[in-house]
Amino acid sequence: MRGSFLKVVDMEKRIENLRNSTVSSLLSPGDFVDWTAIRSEISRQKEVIDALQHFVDGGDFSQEHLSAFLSEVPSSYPLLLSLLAFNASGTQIEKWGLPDTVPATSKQRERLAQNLVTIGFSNLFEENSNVFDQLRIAEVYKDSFKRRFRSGNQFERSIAGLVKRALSAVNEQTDQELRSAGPSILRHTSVSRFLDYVILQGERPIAGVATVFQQQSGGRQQRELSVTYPNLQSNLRELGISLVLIADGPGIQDTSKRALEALFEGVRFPMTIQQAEQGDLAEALLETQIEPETAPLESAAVDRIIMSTMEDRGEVHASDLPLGSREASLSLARFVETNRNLSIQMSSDASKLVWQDSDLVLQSKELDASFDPEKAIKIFSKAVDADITSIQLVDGDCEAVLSLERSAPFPNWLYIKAANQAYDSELSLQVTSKSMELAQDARFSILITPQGLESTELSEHRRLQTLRAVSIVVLSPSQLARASKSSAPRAFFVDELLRQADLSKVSPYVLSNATPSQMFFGRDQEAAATIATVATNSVALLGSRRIGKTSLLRRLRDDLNDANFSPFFGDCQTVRTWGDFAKLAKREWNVSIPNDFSPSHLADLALQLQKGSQDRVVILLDEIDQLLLWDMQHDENSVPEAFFRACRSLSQSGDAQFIFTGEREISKKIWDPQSPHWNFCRPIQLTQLPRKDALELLLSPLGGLGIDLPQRSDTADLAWQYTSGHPQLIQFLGDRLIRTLDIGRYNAAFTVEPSDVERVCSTFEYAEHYVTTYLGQANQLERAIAYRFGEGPLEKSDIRAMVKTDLDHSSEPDFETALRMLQLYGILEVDDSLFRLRAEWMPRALEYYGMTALPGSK
Amino acid sequence: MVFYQGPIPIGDESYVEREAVGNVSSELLSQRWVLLLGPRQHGKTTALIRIKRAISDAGVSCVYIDLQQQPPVDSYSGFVNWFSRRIAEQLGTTFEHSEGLDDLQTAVNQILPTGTSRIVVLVDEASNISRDDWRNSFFGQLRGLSSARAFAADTDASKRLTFLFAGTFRPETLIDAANSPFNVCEKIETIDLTIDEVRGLAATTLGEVQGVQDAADAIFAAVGGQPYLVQRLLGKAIGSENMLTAISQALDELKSGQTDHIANLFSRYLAESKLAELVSRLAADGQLANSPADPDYSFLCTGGIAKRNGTQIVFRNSIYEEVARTSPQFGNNNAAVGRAPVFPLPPTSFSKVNDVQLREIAVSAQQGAVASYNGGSNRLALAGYGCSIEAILIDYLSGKTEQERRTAGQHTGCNLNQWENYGDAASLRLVNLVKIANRLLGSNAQVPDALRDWRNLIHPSVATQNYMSDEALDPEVRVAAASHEIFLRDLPSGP
Repeated sequence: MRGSFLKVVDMEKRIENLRNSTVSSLLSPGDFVDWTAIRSEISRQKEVIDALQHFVDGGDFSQEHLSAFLSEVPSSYPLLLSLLAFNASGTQIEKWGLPDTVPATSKQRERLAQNLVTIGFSNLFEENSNVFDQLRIAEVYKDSFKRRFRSGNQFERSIAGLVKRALSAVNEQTDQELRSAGPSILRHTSVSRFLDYVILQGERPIAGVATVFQQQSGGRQQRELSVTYPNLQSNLRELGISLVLIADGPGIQDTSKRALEALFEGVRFPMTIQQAEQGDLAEALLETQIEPETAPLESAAVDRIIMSTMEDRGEVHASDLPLGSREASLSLARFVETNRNLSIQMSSDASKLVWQDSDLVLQSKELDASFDPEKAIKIFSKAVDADITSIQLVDGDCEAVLSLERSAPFPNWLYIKAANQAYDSELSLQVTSKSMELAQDARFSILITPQGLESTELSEHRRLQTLRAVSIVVLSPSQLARASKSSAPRAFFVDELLRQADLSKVSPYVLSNATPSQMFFGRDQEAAATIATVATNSVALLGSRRIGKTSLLRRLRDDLNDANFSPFFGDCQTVRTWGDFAKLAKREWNVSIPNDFSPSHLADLALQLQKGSQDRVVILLDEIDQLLLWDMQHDENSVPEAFFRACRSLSQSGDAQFIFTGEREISKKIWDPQSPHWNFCRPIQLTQLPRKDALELLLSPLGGLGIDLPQRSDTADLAWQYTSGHPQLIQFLGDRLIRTLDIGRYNAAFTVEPSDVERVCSTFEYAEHYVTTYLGQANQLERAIAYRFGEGPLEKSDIRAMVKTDLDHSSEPDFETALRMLQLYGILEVDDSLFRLRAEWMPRALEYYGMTALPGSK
Repeated sequence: MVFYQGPIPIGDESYVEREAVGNVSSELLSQRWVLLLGPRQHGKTTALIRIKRAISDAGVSCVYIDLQQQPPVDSYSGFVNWFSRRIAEQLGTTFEHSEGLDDLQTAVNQILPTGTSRIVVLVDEASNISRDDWRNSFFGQLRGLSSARAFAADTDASKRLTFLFAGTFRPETLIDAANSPFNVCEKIETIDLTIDEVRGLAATTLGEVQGVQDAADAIFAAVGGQPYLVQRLLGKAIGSENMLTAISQALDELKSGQTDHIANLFSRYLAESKLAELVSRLAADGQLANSPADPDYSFLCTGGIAKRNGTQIVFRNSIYEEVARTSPQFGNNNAAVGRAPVFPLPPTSFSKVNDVQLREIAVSAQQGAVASYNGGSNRLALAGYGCSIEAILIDYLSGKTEQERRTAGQHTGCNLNQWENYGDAASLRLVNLVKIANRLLGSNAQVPDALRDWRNLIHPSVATQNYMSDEALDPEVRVAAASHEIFLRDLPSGP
C-alpha cells in the first residue's frame, strides 16, 4: 500500500505531483439545474398556478381586485414573490414591507396589495402571459442558489468514501483499529470548524481531515493555502493531531509555487483526491499512527504553566510565564485561541487571562475541596443559567426546582438534588419520585454527590435508567468544576445526559400524539391559507392519519385567537352521533344544549358562542368522518345530512365558520360534484412536509442535543429518501436514531451519520412501519395500485390496465377515488396527467415483503 | 416446577427473563402508550405481572385490569363505573357509583389522587368487550384522553395516565382506525423462546440429568419456542422414566387437536373465513408470500399460528403445521393415519344464522359433533353435523318468502306431505329443505349430498339398513367437518 506521494521527499516533485493530479470539476449535469425538483415544484403548485393564470387573464390588476384575489387564493402570494424574484431573502421581504404570508385581516391585505401595485407587479404580465412558463424561469433562478450546495455535496460525498476506504485499508494492517468521527468531537472550535473528519485511534484523536476545492486561484485562495492551513496544522499539533488536507480543483493547479511551498512546509499531509484515492490517504493515516504529531516541547510546557496557574489562581499574567513579554502575550493569545472550549477572557492589553466567571470557578473549586449540597445546586443553576424556584435543606442534603428556558432537552422545570452520600438505588428512587412530583414534564433530573459516578458504574447505571420513570444524571463536584470553566456549560451537561440517560426518554420526537408547539415545524402555507379563508368561508383540512391534522388544528386555534377570531375546538374522535356532539359542546364550550339536540339547534349554539364577543366564531372540529357517516345515515324531519347542512347554512350566513379535519368521508363528500356539499368548504390537503421543513423537524432536535452530523447533506438526503417528508416517519426515524446512538464514542461526542440512517431504515421493522403509515387506511384497490406502481410515471390508462384484475369488483368512480386517495395519502402525485410515486421508497419497502413493483412504462 | 395453567409467579425459577418486559416497562415509564400483542398462552399475563412490579418499583402507581373479569352490566355506564372502580380500588382512592356516568375522562378525573402523580393502567384481554357500541365508546374515549395529552394541565388525567393494552386481537377490527387508541401506541409483540432459553429452562425444571439437552432439542424441534407448549412438554417429561418417550406421547396428544391450546388456536382461525382460507393455503403450500399492510396476514403471526420468515409466512412450529395439514377443516382430503384433528367453531362463526334458537341448535350440534368425534363416536358426530346443517337450512329458508320457497320447490319437484307447507320452512322435511335450498342457493353454495344420511344415523333402524361399524365411519366425519365448514362459509349473509 505504498502511495505515490509520501515516498517523494523532494518538495518540487511533490508540488508537481500535486498539481498534475488535480481535477477540473466535480460537477454532474444535474448539479447545475435540478430540473426534477423544478418540475415537481411546478406540478405541486398546479392548482394555484391555474388560479393565478385566471387572475392574469382577467386583466384587472387593481389594488382591490388583487386584495380580493390574495384573500381567496393566499397560496398564490409566494408565486408572485417568486416571479418578482423576491423570494431569495427574508431581509428583502422585510425591507420592502411584504410579509411572509398573506395577512389575516382585510386591512393588512389591502396594504399588501397596495405595496405590490406600487412595486409594479402588473408589469410581469404582458398580454397572453403564460404563468407556467414564467414560473419555470423563476424556479430556475431560485434553484441557482442551491448550486453551490450541490457541488459541495458532491465533494463531500467523494471525501466520505475516500475516508471510509482508507480506514478500511489501514485497519487491515494494524491491531489498533482507526475510526472516523465528526470534528465536534474535539470540542476545540478553533480547529474543529476547519475539519471534516477526525480520525481516532481508540479514544485518541490522531489526525484531522480538512478539504478545500478551489475553482480559481486568487489572493484569498492563496492565503488559505499558505497561511490558514499551516496555522491549522500548528494548532492541531498542540493537540497531538496531524492534518491531512485534501486540496483539489483548477485553482490548486494555478496556485503559485510559493504558496504551495508554504502549504507543504506547514501541513503534514497535503494531497489531491486522486492521490488520496491512490493510497496516500491510507498511508498518511498509517504514518500518523506510527509517528503521532507532538507539540513542540516549549509550547506544551508554556500551555501547562498557563493552565495550572489558571486552575490555581483563577488568572494568569504574562509576567508569570518564563518568556519575554511579547512572547508571553502571544502565548496567552494562542492559548485562548486553541482552547475556545474554555470560558477565558483576555485583557485588552493581552497581558492577562481570567475566567469569564471567576466566582463560579472559585466556588466550584471550593466545592471540590469540601462538599456543600446547597452550594452545589447553586453552581449548577448558575452554569445552566437557571432560576432557583424553590430550594430546601433536608437532613443535610439539599433539593431544588429550577426554572429554565425550554430548549431541548432541557425542560421548563428541573428537579435537582445534592446529597452528601454515595449514589445508590434508594437515593435514585427518592430523586425520581420527587422529580415526578415537582417537575412533571422533565424526563431527567440532576443528582450531585461527592463522588459522582465511577466509570465502572456507567453501564449498569444506564441499564437501570430504562426502568426509572425519570432518568438521573449523576454529577460530581469535579464535573461541575469543568462545566464552570466551559464556554458551553449546557452542552457539557447535555453530553453527560446522553452518556447517562435512557435515550428513549431523552428523545424529543413525538411518535403517536399531537405535536406540541416546540416540535411543530412547517405548515405555514396551509395555516395562512386557512386563516385567510375563514374570514369568509369554512375550511376542510384533508389528510391521512398521522400526517399532522390535529397538530395543525391546535396550532390554528392559537393563531385564530391572535388574529382576533373566537375559536372553539372540539375533538370529535368519540363523537359518533348528534347526541355525542351535543355532549361535547356542552362539556367543552360551556353552552346550554337541549336534551333532544338536533342539527337545527346549531344556530342557537353559534349564537351562544358569539355572545359577549365581537370576534367572529370559528368552530374547529377534529376528525369529523364518523359524525359525517352518522349524518348520512340519519335525517332530521326528512332533511338528509342535516348536521352538515346546518353547518353550511351557518357558514353562508357568516354566523360561524368551520374548520374540519378528516380523511376519507369528508374528502369523498367534498370531491363529489354530485354532493350538495362539494363546494361548501375550501379543501386544503395535508400531505408530506416540504423538504426544508421535514429536515428541520429531523435535524433541529438532533442539533439541540448537541449531536453532530458530520455528513449532514448525505444524512439529509437519506432521511428524505426514506420518508419523502412524511412527518410521522421523520419523527419515527429521529426517535430511532437517538435510541440507537453509539454511546461508546470518544469524549461523549455523539454523531449521526448516513450509516446510522441506513441501519435504522434497512430493516423489516422500518419497512413495515413505512407501508403501514402510508397505506394503513387504504382500501384493497388503492393498495393494489400502490403495490404495483414502480418508478413511473404512468398515465391513468396504464394504471387502469395494471390493476385490471383488481378492478373487476370496482367501478370507474371507485378507480378515480382511489387515485385521489393515493394523492391525499402522499403516495402518488400527478403532473401533466402523468402519475408518479411521491412516496419514493415504497417499492423498496415492498421488497421486504418479497414484492416487486412494475417498472414504469414511460 | 413448570407452569402452564396461568401466569408464572414472581420469583419462580422456571421464569425465563423476557426482553419484552424491559422494553414495555421502559416505554410505559417514558409515558408512551403500549399495545402488547401476542398469541394466547404466550406469556403476556406473566409479563404483565412483572411489568407491574417494575413500574411500581420505579415509584409510579400501576393498576392492572383484566377485562375478562368484568361482571355482567346492563349499560355502558355500568361498564365505565366498574372500570373506574377497579382503578380506584387499586389506587386506594374513593369512587362513588354514578348512574349516568358514561364518559371515561370525567370518571377517571374523579378518582385519581390529587396532584400530578403518574399512573400506569395495564388493560389485559383488552378485546373483551363484546358489545360493539360499548367497545367503540370505551376505546374512542381512551383515544380522546390520548389526544388531549399534549395540551392538558398537569393535573388532568390525560397527562397523568399511561395505558397498556394486551391481548390476542386484531386492533384494526376492534374499533375504527380514526378513533382507535391503538394507533397512538408503541406496538410490541411477544416472541418465542430461543433454543438456548429452552435448554436453560429444561435444565432448571428437569435438573442436570442425562438426556436433558436431547429432551430440550426434541421439544424445540416440535414446538419451537412457544412458551406454553415448551412448559407443557417439560411438565410431561418431569419424573418420567424416558423423557423422550414422554415428550413423544405428549406431542401425539397435541397433534390430535384435543388439547385446549390447539383447539382454541385453530378455532380462532376457523372463525373467520379469510383467515381459515389463508391457513389452508399455508397448509397446502408450506409457506405464504407476505402481503403488506394486510391485517389478515398480520394476524397469522399475531394470533400465533405462523411467523414471518424473510418475505414468507410459515407455520410457527411443526406441531401447528401437522395439525393444519391433517385437519379436514383446512382442506386435508387424505385419509390420515389415526384421527384427524377437528375443531369446534366459535358461536361467532354462525352469525349468518338469524334465528336465535336455531343458531344455538346449530352451534351446540356442531360442538357436540366435534366432542363426539374426539371421544371416539363417529356416528353421533355425523348426526351432530347433519343436525347443525339442518338448523342452518331452516333458518336460511325462513328468510325467503313463501313464494320463493314454493317456486323453488315446484321447480325441483318437491312432494310435500300433509304436514308440510311452503308457508312454514320449519315444517319441511329434510329432503325438501335440501332441494329448495339448493335451488335458491344456485352456485353460491350447495348443501352436502350426504346430509340426510348423516342426520339419519341417529335412528338405529336407518343405521342398520346400510350398516357400517362406528369405527369405519371415521372418513365420513372428516368429510362432514369439512363440508360443514365450507357450507357455512359460502352461505350468503342475510335473507
